[in-house]
Amino acid sequence: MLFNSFEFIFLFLPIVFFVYFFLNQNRLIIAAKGWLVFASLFFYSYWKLEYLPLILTSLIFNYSVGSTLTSNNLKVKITRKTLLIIGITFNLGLLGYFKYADFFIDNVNSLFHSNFAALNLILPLAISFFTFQQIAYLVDSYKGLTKEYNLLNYCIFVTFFPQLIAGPIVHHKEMMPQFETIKNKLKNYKHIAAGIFVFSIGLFKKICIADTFAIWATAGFDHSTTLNFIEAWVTAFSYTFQLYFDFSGYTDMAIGGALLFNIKLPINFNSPYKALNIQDFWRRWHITLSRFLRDYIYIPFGGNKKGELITYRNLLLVFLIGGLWHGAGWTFIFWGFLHGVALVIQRIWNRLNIKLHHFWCWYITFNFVTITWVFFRATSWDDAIKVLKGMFGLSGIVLPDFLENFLFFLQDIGIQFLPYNEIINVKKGFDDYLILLYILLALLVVCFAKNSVEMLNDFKPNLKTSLFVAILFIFSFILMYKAQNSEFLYFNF
Amino acid sequence: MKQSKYWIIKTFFVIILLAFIYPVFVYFFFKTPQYSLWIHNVIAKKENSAKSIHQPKIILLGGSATLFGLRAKDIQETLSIPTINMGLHAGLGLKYMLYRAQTQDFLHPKDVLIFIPEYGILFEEQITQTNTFYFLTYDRKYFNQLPLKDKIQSIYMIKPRDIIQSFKEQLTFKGKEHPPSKGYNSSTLNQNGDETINTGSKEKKISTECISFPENIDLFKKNILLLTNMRLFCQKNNIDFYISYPNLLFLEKYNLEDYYSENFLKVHKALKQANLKIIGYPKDFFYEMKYFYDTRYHLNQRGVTIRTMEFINKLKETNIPVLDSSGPKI
Repeated sequence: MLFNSFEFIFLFLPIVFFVYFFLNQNRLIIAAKGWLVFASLFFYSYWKLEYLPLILTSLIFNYSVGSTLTSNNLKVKITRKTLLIIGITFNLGLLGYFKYADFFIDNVNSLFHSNFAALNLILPLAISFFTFQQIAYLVDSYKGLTKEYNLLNYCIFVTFFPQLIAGPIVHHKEMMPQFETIKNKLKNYKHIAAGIFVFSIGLFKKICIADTFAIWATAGFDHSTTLNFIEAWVTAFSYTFQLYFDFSGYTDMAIGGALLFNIKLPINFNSPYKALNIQDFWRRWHITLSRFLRDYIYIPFGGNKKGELITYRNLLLVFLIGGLWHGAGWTFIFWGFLHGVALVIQRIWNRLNIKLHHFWCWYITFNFVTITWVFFRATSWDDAIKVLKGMFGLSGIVLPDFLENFLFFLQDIGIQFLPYNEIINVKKGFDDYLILLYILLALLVVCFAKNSVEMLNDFKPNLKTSLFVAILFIFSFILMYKAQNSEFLYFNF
Repeated sequence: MKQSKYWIIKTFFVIILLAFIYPVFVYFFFKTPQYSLWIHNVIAKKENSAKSIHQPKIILLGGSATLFGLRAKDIQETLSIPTINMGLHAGLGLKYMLYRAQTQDFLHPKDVLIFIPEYGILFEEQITQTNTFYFLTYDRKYFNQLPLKDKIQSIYMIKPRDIIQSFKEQLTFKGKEHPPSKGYNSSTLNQNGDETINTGSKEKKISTECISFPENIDLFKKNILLLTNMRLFCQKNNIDFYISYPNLLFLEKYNLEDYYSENFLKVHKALKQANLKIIGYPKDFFYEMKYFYDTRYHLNQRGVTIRTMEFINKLKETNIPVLDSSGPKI
């Protein structure tokens, strides 16, 4: 079930909410938890029932390993470390089998000219998210950072529907105490109001902004064979904004949905496109994934404590893994590699202590992120090269003819001037001549407007916010009605 | 806490209020006189031509693939039977086209009605942006008699951006269509309703993507039911009703991939199973790029000539009573 569907907003969410608090009010605490787990599993298997046994197996296995690690009560003669390794191997094996098997087979076939048949497995929804979350749980259990909870509690921790599909990736220790607090078992109107507020922002971001940019990103990446200079930048910026508004919109809806149940999820985005360097970007973008990669990969490998070269190696390794986590493809790995290299360069730059004006810091970071998203989005190298060639003027530079009077001398170096409506080719799917204006507006919003977390912090229940929320919902519903059920990008990861 | 509770109630109230105000507002104030004028004039011109013929005639009904794909004038001259190209805009939808054919009194006993729907309109919803704009601007009578569900669906098709466009149009509309240099114009139709402006080829504009077939065929089944009802209407009124296929850009994939052959066959079989008389087979009307004007469904004049000749041959092969009889001819 999608957050941006009428059945979720008008049926699933209200029913789950009212039944949950009804059971809690009648002191049926366990039944309420059971209801939440049942509802979450229903939410998960709404797409495909076939996914359900997989998540159940994963839940039971990880709970067994985790609780054994926590209780320190090993019945067989293996060390806790061995048990942890078994647990992590199981999770990675599961992820590897479902997500990377075909990628592996493909590469073996092309490397050794063999002919192994692809498995053509359908990627189980959210597998990357619940796998990482459970690996974190096992490691925390090993370190003694988790208290013992029963299976029902564990199931809530993993399956709680607002964060199940695409995060935020949460820690056991930040979630379970919230479910245990008695105060949280009662309806809290302050939380409900705040939840509705942030949910409406997320819905608007997804439906009205991300899905609009999606049309132009798809036009450029999927429906065009060549792109001129302007079309290529429109394509790249469209995807840059689509991805941000899509994923942060999803996160806002997750945070809002969880707040209805008095659960505070960690923030996942903090105006990433305001970042002034690439390290800053990763402190603002998909924060819970960055936290996971830092705590469970970067630091265990030595972090920055073992000398500069090892630090560089670790950075590259973390981002190669990060790239691979996002998708089984070389373009994803290359995207991760580029970010790893950028972080290494930044560290060297910092050591050299060269200062740049804030504007240039932002400009370089934003454009680097935009250019690297091309690899992230492209389904093949050819697609990526097509867009990049356009962006760097290798497929010809065509500028709007109203600039001809000022820039006529550029004709000498082969730059053409054409009417604007011939540059932005409608038939390729760039269906609106105002694309450049939308891109400019989006840029202003991501650079200067408050983000949803800041808005949530400033939230006051008054007529102004009431109208604001109502208008966001109505706008979103109108567009939802037309373009029913567009999936979130991060569902693919 | 109390303040938050009131805020929630107030917000829900405002949402509900806006949800009611929006459709009422759209219903009363939304109009696209400029955008829909070409469609309006094309319909009026063609229906008037058809109504003015008081002897058996051929009506070629369909979307713009018919308008830009067949030359009724050639059919009329070759077969010596009045022929009207009733090709309109595919966005009007199959249901509305058939509705007009049943209610606008241009079909008479012994007429031959050949319906040539684009593949899209066979598979899609009958509520589209184009027809919503058209109904609210030029055919409110039809809009008013739609089931409530369809009315709501139509109105929620209209995006806030469309409303801005609508006001802009209403303020600047001067009662004239865009000149032919800026868009389609009803003045370029000939007396038989054929489009005449489509010379040359705007190859760059033409999509080279294959048409898509739906996985869910419920809508297709529903639309076949509409065709069956039309067949019964024609039977009752002594009108000869046929279905044919639109001209379409030939793409290698249609031949190479089983998916397309199977789906074209499925469409053909489904129409046959509904006891509809069919002229030709989808692949009979595939043409090369050089014969297309500005979309994969719109032929240029060279293409129209070839397509019409082939279509006439198909008509001759088909046992159409009015063509065989020595009845009234022009």
